[in-house]
Amino acid sequence: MKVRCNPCGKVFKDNEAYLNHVCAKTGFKPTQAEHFDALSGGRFSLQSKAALARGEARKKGKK
Amino acid sequence: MAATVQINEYNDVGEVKEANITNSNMGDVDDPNLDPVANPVIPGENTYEKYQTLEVTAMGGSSAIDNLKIWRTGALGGSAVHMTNARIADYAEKSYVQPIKTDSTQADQAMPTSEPVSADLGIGGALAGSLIAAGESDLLIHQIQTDAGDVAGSTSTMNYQYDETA
Repeated sequence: MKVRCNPCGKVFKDNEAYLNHVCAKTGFKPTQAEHFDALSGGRFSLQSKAALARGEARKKGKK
Repeated sequence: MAATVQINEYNDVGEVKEANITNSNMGDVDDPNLDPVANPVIPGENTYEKYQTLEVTAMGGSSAIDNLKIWRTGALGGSAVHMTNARIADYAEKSYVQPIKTDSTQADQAMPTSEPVSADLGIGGALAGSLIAAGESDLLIHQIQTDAGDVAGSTSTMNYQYDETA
């Protein structure tokens, strides 16, 4: 299955190739938080912290 | 370090994957990040279905991603309805088929308009599923179905929420 990186427009033969490329738009790989922060003006890190807080709170609630 | 997460969209007969979409604009063409002004829906007709996933591209040291919740905030125009396969009970994973603009048989529930009380999109076919390595959620399918009396154009927000465990 072909995969297109929406930010830079480059097309890859598979997902592994996509995940390993350095995006021309951000200068980072799609596996790096910096890639998402560059695209979102830093909002990704805030969303990530909120997700972690929800997950940890739910885990404590289960104990 | 934390997990890195993106939203993808699948399109066309060949299931082309658009990684890390910019928006979820709905309209009269099967394209990601479509221009709704250039591709408006004729009142009484439907948008093309959207097939989307939440993808973890790296776990970043975390142990699990789960509890996927999908909902829309903001009103649609007129009496349009927003249909989806997301649901908190009687869930079943759906397979990809080329998106259509006739009434979706895959998306047959009303899209929640507030945060669901529990997960409404599965991972590995189960609402209680989790990602413990890089990978994707089940397919989220949704479509807006308009009424002949509707006026074209409305803006609302799609929410894609996950929980992360360190």
